[in-house]
Amino acid sequence: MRLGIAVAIFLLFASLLTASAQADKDTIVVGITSDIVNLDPHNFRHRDTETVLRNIYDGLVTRGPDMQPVPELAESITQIDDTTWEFKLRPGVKFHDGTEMTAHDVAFSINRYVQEGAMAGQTSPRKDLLGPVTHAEAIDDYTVRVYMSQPWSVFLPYLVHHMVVPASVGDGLVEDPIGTGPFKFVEWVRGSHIVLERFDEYYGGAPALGRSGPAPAKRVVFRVIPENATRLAALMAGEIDIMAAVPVHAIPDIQRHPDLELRPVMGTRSYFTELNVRRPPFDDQRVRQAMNYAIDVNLIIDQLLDGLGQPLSTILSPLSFGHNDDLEPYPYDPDKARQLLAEAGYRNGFTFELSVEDKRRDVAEAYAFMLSQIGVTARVRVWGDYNSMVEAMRRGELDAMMTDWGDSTMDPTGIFVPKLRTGDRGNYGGYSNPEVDRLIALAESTSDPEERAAAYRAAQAIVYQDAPMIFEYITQELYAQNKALRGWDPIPDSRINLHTAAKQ
Amino acid sequence: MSAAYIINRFLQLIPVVFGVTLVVFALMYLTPGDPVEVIFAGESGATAEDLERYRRELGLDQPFHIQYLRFVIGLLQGDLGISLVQRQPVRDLLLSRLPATIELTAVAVLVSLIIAIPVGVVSAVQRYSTLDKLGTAGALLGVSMPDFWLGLVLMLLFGIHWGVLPISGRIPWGMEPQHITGLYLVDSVLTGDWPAFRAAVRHLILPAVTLGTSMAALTMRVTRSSMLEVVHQDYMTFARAKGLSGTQVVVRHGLRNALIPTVTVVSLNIGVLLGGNMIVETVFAWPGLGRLVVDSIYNRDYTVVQAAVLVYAVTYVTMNFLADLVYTLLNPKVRL
Repeated sequence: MRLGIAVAIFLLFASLLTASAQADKDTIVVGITSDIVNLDPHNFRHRDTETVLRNIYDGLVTRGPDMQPVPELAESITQIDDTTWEFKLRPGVKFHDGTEMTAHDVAFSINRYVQEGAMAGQTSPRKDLLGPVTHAEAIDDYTVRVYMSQPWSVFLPYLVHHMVVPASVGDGLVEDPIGTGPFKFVEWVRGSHIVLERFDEYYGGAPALGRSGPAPAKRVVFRVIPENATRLAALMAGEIDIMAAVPVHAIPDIQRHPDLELRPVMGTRSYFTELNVRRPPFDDQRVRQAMNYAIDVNLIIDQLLDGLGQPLSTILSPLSFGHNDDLEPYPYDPDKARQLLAEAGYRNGFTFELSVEDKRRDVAEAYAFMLSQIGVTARVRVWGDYNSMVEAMRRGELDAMMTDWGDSTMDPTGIFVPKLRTGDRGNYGGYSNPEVDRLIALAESTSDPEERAAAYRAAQAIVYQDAPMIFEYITQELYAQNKALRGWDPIPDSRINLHTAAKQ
Repeated sequence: MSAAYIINRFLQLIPVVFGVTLVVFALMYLTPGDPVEVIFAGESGATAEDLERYRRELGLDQPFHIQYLRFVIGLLQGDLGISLVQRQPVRDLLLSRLPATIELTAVAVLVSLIIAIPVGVVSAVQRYSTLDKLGTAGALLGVSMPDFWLGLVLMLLFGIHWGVLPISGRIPWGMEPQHITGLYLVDSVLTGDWPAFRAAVRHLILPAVTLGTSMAALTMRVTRSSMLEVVHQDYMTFARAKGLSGTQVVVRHGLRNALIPTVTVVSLNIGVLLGGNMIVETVFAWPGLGRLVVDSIYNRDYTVVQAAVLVYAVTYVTMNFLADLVYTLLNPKVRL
């Protein structure tokens, strides 16, 4: 009798231990790191949310792997005058509920984004992504005009963040998303997953990106798996097809695995060390240049980032608009660094405090060693809280701070201006150069792209010489995928566009 | 047990909970960095006016006492505030995650009790036997193994190496049973959805065993030592002298008396687990409360963290209170 019960219990457990059902071929499963924050395309500032919603919603423009904006729902784009743009829409585009998208929906979507209190009394946290845009208006069913309070040359790069909702949304919040994108929303189980289903009447997306017709995949599931090791295990076990945010230490495991493939792409986050230029020793340009010569950025990339980085001449991504290609990143030259220090009166070096977040402590310690080679002692101070560190730097209490800044706009206004203009919101080190400010103002006042780019290139050359930071690198973002998946490429802005992806 | 005792004990909870709200709120208020600036930090394109507007809409431009008053008045009305990042009522967010945590906690506690009580009792009754030594060594191992490590090892073995159990999550997408309580095991039984039940059990095994192991170790140690005290009592000898069988003596007379410390430990543990085990929930991508808190910390969603800490504190205090009540039921001496 007892034996019987024992055997029955054993069999019951054994029956639970069966091979996990493999995901079917029609469904693409993506492992992302954090849950989306909500389903309203105008009510978040959060990358994973944009990644998911961009498969449900299309915008007037989008961008491909080279990060340049291309028309999506728009058929043509004309700038009428300095502050007015006109969009001709693609006819016959359907929302997921079957209604046709018209200029009224587009105008509504832009107004909902930029007007205060338009969403259940709240203002869209994305409003500033359309800067000086005041409102939009439908001229006829397929023509929309967008008006601005002042000329704004980076309108299109910023417009890629905007998604079009139907005017029927009214003044409420979106809880059941209806878009014009390649996939329809099915369900969101909080903290767990989001399920999307192919929209069979999809118009095809941006022709410039080689997209046409409905998506080949029937279904897409975004699974939230925050822990790196678990996400990797899920990829290995075939539970997911695409893994976002692959940690560097997982590279060998993925390379060894016969079914998996590593997919690196240049990221949008620049790394640098801000120097407090308000007080000695970093108030001296020669000292700051010496710091740049003393750090072997390539060695850091090779040894600590597994080669997944690219040295920068300033802080602007090489993919960015207006990048100055003539500037070479500071070479590693300790002799030159010692000479500059001697000229600045620091023949015997000096001691300073290098503030860093715990996650980059290894890089800071490598810096301390390299700086010791030119006689400079860097005492590494590890901060548990990023905000406290930034606050202290902003108040001018720290000597130097290792930090980073993400810029998905690929335009100097996204990083160069906030970090380097006098008193701007990201300028924690106190850098101020009237000539740089003048060039930025010039770039902002012109609508001629060539003139703009020239102004930014000139500003970069000055910043390069002034060296208010130790310029470091831009990292690569790592994805991994199952080799059975085709038709998907990672792109720098961390979106995962599944318009053309399919499993073999 | 007198009603006065319970009421008195209950009234003591009020200042504690009130103190907790003040501490929680002050902590969040004093934490360096303005939450609104944090939301936009390191991102391109936000201007000072945008930050100011955001702050105004969230009421963060008000002085401390006004913000705190609003917070407490909201609490009294069952309103935990609005999530800064998700911009939805915090109460809804917490409630949506609660069933997953309750289910995992219940199964983990069950797992731990199934292991701990028999092993603890047998170890005590047959002290210094091989079984006792194995049990004690096992308990030491169980306490020493960090949850995240055990979880990953189990995952690698059962999920990848043998490939017999799912790696993560609560249930495969699309298999969720019809929503009644939010507890998948209960809902699937109520609706007779056996494939969902089976899938839910399969997904529960690894996280519940991971969570249950460390808890079992502690429970087993406590059960063993209190059982050791009990087995040599006169009434045990008397019971045996009456001619009761060994099992009856141990279970009816021994265990009931030995369980008092065990109940305390287990209920306090449940109090902790109901807050959601952040580590196990993160490792197994379990969509519970602990994960919500971790995500909210990463997203700097202060109002959610604040409310969650409050819920933790209240749960803990409540479990303590319940433990006291159970105590009085088990031990007549407390019934004053």
